[in-house]
Amino acid sequence: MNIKYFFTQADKKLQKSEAQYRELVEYANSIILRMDTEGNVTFFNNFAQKFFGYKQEEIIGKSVLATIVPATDTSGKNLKLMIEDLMVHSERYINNENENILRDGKRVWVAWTNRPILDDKGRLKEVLCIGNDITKLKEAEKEVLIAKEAAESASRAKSAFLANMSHELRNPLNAVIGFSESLIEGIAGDLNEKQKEYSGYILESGKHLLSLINDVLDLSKVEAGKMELELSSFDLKELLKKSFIFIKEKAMKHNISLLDNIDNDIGLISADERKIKQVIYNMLSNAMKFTPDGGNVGIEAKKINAAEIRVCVWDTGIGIENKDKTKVFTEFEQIDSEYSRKYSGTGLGMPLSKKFIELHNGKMWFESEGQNKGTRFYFTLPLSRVNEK
Amino acid sequence: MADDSKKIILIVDNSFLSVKLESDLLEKNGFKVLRASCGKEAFDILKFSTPDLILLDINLPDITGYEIFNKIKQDERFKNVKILAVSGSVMKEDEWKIKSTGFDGFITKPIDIKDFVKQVKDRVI
Repeated sequence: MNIKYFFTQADKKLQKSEAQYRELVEYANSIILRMDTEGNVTFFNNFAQKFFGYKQEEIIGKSVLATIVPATDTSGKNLKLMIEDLMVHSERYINNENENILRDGKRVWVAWTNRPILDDKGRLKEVLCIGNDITKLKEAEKEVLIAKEAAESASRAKSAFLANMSHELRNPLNAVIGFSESLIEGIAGDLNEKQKEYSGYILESGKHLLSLINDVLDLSKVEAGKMELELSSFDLKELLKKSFIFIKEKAMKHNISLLDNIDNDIGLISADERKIKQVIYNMLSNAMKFTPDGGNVGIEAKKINAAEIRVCVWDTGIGIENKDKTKVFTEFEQIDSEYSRKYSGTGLGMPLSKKFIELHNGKMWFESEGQNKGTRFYFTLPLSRVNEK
Repeated sequence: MADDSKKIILIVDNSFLSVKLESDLLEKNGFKVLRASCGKEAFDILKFSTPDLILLDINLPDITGYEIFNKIKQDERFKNVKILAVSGSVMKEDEWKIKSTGFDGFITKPIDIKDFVKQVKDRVI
């Protein structure tokens, strides 16, 4: 065997592999550099040269701190200390994101993978750094953060606006409701039937406006996470039995029968009484609103297991068509029908009720088999510990 | 009823129509009403008269109802005067502040005219 030939072949192979390796490193689409323990650059690949704007001869032997690493980043973080720390605790910087600076002064963000290169005594000789440009990602992250802050500040402004508006609207409403009620009560003298009727419309509209303001305010509180429950222990059965008082007058006028079926084993629950009352009132007035004269409206309640109560308000009314089912719990949506036109609501009652029930860790839903087949609204309430999330 | 036997109510509120509504209701029910639209006017009136009850709006243009309350309560002359807060605010923080300030009651706007008269009567008759 020709030894010279053998070595030539081996040499060629070595040269070829070295060239391949060099090409790989030089033209990799990543920044690849090495620096010594002083932070001076000992290797700087082609991609790094293009990226940072330094030619190899301009940067080899120079400290990264004088070239590609600014002393502090834009947030004020000391990067000089970081490089010093990197030389002592390189294990902390295996994956590290930091700001860098281009030759033209432009700041960029780079995700670095740093590997210590040790000498044969195990001491740190150099650090191999491979970096990828993540400036665009960082900018996008920053934009998201700015957008988030803007949204939060807008939400705070909205809540403050609603609170103010609610307050400002109460003074004129005080006059609208108070004076129309005074007229009806005869405080300013006797009214004829028409005058009484018209004053009644003013009073009713004023009260409607007030409930709208209250609902909007409640909804904004729920949305801002500021709605707190005032828990107390009260008798749910009593509350349900008395709830028909709200609608009795209207039911008689429209010949609607009111039926209840409340199990005897329903008693004390721990919940926010005012809100539960409001939910029941909303459900009942909703049922009344969509039930034609001569129909039925009912309330049912039972313990469905040891830990939960289910309440249902049902009616024999116009029902809910499939196409309208998503509107029921959507704010300001009202199902358009001759009935909803006849008794206008705020469009907030049911969405708000659902939120109140959910604050109690309960559920609210409805069932309707379609047009003119009535509707059943349900909610469940846990018997205890409603305040635990 | 002779004028000097009438109970005197001072209404402090910068909403003209609220003052009108409330004073008409109270006069109709046999009270004598004094009216102020801000803190300064209220103190001018209090220099010369001692009402039996004060209806105090919380949000006034010059100073807050809380400050007025504290100033009045410091004066020995008014130690038997009942003071009710009247406010359109339904925010929890305000309600809490009204309670902790020590008002003799809280009436929310818009008022319920029957309840309004009852609240006043309950405290001075």
